[in-house]
Amino acid sequence: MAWYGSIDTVKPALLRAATEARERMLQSENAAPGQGPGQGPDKKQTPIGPVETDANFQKYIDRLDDFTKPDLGPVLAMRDALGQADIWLASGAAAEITKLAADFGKGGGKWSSAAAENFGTYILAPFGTIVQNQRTITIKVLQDALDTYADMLKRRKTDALTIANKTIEVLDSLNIVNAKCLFCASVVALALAGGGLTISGIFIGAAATTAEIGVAISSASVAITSSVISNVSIGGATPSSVLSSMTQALDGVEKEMDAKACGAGNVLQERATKKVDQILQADAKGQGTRIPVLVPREPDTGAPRVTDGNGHAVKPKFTPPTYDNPTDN
Amino acid sequence: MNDAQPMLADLEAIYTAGKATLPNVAQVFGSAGQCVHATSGSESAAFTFTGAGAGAGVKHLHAQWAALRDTLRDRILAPTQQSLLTSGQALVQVAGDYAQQDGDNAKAIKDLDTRLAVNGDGVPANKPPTSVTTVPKHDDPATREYPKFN
Repeated sequence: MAWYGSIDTVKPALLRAATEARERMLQSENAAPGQGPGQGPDKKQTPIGPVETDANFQKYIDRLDDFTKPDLGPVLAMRDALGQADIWLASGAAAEITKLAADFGKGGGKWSSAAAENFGTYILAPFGTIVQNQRTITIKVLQDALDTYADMLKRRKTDALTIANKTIEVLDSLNIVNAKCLFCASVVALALAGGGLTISGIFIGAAATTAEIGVAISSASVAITSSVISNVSIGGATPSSVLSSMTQALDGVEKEMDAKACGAGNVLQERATKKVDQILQADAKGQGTRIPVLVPREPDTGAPRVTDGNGHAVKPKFTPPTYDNPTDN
Repeated sequence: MNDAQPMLADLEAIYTAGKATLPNVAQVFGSAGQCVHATSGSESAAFTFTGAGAGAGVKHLHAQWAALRDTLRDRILAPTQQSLLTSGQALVQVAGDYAQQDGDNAKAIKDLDTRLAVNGDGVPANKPPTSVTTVPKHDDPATREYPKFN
């Protein structure tokens, strides 16, 4: 039995199988007039009615076109763009800041003042951790989510092709016995419903309860367990009924795809979007389990300094003495 | 705490850090931000189904993914870039204000500024960017174009 590996090749094969099955049924009916499908005492048999036309077959078969979209190309393009973002951030930006830390950090020799110390403590020292955290809690999670989504789309297409190929098998084996067409069927286990689909979430190390800077955060896989349909059936007593069952099976694939996507969306929402929001809010307010993701924010107006007071812990001393202003404190 | 006047060499280091190093790092965040924003150009095609297609679940996944992407661009990369730029400006101002207390130092900083613009004063990494590409904003046009790291 040939296996068709693309929507483009399986569609004409389906039409061929359907028309051939119809011809076999017609020949059988002609060979035994009055005893053909639907004309005997067996009410389960279906007559070769007006629905057994090429146009009707094609209508069912064209349902497969839906499985050519979305293409993997745009998903992979998005992933590549994120990969470049990660390369930029890992490209030595942190290293350049680290070099400054040797000169301006605590104990650095180039500049000694409260402002210099704050600059070293709150910007230079944690910068490497800040960039690493930015990459871990966002870029990696976004990339992993696209990988998972791409995996889902591949499985969805695999399921559609499996169903289409199984449909051909069923059509080819439509049993004509004594001019009677017996019901033929096949069951397909959906790849989408299989195991191994995971998506990354954010996990904060236990040290986060005490450490102020440099807390470890990581992303880790969470299994997507949501599932609504694990297998589908294809069968019927006539070509059109077999093809109709194929479209119902394809509907099942779409339902499973949606369930899996919903499960992945839930993990992203609970384990990424909300977590990042919490981390950013805590970081901005300098709250207890602060995980550094942002460098202290500069004021929108007035003399430049490390922070305008909305940031965490940094005193407005990142200015030469002439800029000291009582209202800053 | 020692707030003594830094030596000229120290002022030059402060000035270089503020004029070149921090803006150059800020440019890295601008490039990263452009890459992140470039996902917007493929986003619609990546999550659009035809026919009966997938439904609310895929929309939910898309919405959560886009929200995290927007957070990265708008709430992480953009403010980080801005803070680096303003911190650089602060360092330049610090060096300039210290230098103004000594006319010779002021001239030396001015000369340094010229040398940095030409060739980073002999250190390519210390050449200030002519302009810094800002991280795109949420409502900037969708694009697939982004700068590739050499």
